[in-house]
Amino acid sequence: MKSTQELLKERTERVHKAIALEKTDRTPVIMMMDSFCARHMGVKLADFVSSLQASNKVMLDSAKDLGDFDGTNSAFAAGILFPLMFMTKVKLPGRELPDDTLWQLDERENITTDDYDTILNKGWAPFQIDYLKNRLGINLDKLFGELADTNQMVKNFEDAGYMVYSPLVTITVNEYLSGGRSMPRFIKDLYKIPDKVEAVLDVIQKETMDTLRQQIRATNSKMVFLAPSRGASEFFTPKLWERFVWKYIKGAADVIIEEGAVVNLHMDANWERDLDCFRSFPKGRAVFESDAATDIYKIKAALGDRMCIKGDVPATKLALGTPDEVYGYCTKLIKDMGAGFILTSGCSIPPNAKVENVKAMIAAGTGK
Amino acid sequence: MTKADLVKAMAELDEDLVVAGVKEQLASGVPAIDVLAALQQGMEQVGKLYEAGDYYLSELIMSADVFSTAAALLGEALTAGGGTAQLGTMVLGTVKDDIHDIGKNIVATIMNCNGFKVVDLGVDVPIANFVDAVKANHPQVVGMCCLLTTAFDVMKETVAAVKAADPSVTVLVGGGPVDANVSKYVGADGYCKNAQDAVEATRKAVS
Repeated sequence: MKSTQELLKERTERVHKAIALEKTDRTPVIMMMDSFCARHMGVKLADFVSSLQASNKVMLDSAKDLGDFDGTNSAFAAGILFPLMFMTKVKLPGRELPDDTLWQLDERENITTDDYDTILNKGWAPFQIDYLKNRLGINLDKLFGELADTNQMVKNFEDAGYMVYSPLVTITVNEYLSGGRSMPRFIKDLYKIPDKVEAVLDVIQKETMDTLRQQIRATNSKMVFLAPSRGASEFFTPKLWERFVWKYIKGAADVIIEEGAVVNLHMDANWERDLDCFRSFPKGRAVFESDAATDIYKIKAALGDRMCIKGDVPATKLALGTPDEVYGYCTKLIKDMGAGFILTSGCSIPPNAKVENVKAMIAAGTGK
Repeated sequence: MTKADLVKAMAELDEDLVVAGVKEQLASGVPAIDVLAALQQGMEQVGKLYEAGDYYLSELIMSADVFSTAAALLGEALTAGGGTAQLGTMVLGTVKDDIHDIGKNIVATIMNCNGFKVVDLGVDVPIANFVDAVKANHPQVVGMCCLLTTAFDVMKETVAAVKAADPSVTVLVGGGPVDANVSKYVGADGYCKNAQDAVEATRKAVS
């Protein structure tokens, strides 16, 4: 029987081989799981999100029960960190929501067009800190205090033999404004004051990328999770997309790759129109993670010779399907995608996914 | 500006031209209801461009903004002229335990722009509120949204309650994870992938 450290090494190598488009002994399975683990372990979501450490413990217990898979996307549930990424409040179970209801973004117009001038004049970081603390009322000291335990939370998984796929997370800068302004108002800004929005995004991008470089160097991260989902091709005309979305995805991905890490592109929604753009990244240095809204066979045709594909068992199938349906879907994907494929759910496994369906997904990958 | 020019300006989302055109038409004595009809024709063209893949969500959102700005100019004139007939009524809401509203709001606005009355119940809507709204407003269509898979079961209960209250009503569902399978699971009459789908499905339901 292999030790947990032997398992960790084997699983980590398997995942990195898949990312490098090399053939593996079996298709790696990475679990994008958070709220599901709470339901799986019979823990109320209110208790699950009470701290990052609490979610880490429940996720680890859930992983051990699920058994042989390669790793988890993150070491803890990120729900309470959403304000740092989307610049809007999050409603939490046990606080604004009933005890066992999933956390949800409370999106509204929090950032105003006047704030654009403040960002241009004072810079992003001073604005961001003041905005989060004083306008959204976020307890940053508490959050950063919890985040300081990230290494230990990652180690908890590694000690059990599971790799943590992408401990370092960043977001494309348009998401900050789209979340803080609300998506409809942000889109109107793109029509009415495009030059100002671009200037603001350029300021945010410069500062964010400087910080990201430092983080990659300090943590020696080999993988960075980049989430540009509100920028999906299906939402914007090509002209807007190239200027306000692609420019910043490309900029961020280039920095990550220059720093020696692989970029994991978390691509919720439909990106089919613009798949060819992603061919510009070096071979084997990017992963296209899909939630099934983009046809994975089109991703394979457009990018399969350039980058690893990660996906895409639909949340709906995990919640409403049968184990046979899930197993059949996964085995077909494994066969059709071939080398350079990591099996995972389409975005996070939902809390109401059936445990037997999640186990069927794992079984399809491991062949057990 | 001719009526055709106003329709074209609306379809091309040229807000300055639309506003100027509405003011010009009102000043020259064109009835407000006819000006509104031109704006709605422009919105129909927006819908066709969206269906053709020339326009995207970004243009749907902008079109609603331009339309609302222009329609506000007609406000008093429309009221003085006795208002305008609406094509039908939709009761709309995000189901209980789900607070997402962006998609719902876009549907409400686009439906309004296309001549439908929308009774917007908001988000996290209890089943009883959908039933009460159906009884009070006698809509032809009820639209239900969700972004969470955890809302499927309450959506199913809501559909059943609405159908029990008025078997003739058409129930349409939509939202990120909603597809034909989910529509079948919750017992709806159909699902809409986007706001334009909702307009077309409602047109069919009221015809």
